[in-house]
Amino acid sequence: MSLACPEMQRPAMYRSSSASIEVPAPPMAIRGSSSVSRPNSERSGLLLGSALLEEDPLFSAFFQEVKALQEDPDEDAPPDAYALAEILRLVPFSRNQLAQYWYKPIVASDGFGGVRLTWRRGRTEVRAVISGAQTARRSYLYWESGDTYGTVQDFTPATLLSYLRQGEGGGA
Amino acid sequence: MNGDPIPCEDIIIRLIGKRQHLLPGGDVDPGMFVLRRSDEGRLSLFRRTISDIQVCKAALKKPYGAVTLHTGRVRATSYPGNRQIDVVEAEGEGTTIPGHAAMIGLPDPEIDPEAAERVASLLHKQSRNLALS
Repeated sequence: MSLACPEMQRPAMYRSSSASIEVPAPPMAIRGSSSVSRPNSERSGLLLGSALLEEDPLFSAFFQEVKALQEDPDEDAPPDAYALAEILRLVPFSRNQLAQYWYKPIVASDGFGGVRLTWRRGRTEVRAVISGAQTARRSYLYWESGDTYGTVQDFTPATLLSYLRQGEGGGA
Repeated sequence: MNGDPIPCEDIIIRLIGKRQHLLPGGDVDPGMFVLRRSDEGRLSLFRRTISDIQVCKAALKKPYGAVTLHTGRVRATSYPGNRQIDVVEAEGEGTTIPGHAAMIGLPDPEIDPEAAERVASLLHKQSRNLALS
């Protein structure tokens, strides 16, 4: 199948070729959003986000909490519109997939115009730091379980889902 | 003198100036130990032996709470990349309240977010809630 847009093509290392052994694509959880074609989860994120804001009281309450940071007089760097749009792109997929197992994260500003979302369950913690427009730093996902920790830069909605599912398995 | 390390036995106070950092159940968000742009590279603290907590409270518009840390433990903790975190005197810097100090050596979250998050977790684990009333 030919792809209409060049940016939608997969990088060479994952392309099928008659001259080399086909290498399976990595699991969704470790893909960066700019490294491969955008997964369906991401393309549909904004649409899904809009639908959730109208139909899902839990998601709507979460997003209102984020928006309230913009009006908070204590805030030295309230989240900007770009950060809010990024939340609507990145979070709805996991909300939709986890259904009743999804719970509201701890919401705080990151001090650089972005937002920190923290999901905590037992010893496992997932922190999604969603950058605003006024920082060169990309959004990242930090996870920690006891003494083990790591970061995924520029994560996708599917990556967030993957890590929240792991936390869900950990149990509180 | 400002910039000099404070004694290891000193207990230091970090005020919570953001409502979001105080969690239901009394815990605090580790994010309160991640540097913000307004922090200018260091966290503002007070020394419990010198600073009057009620005066500290008044210094913030709305202090939502406070945590304490043990200076010696802050120094002795093993941080990513063998990073050295210290607590130094900062009298008169940003406040006139006596006993002002600063935590230095924290990772810049714009440059090394993973280290910044891990250090925040390690500081959070050793912090203790302090009643402000």
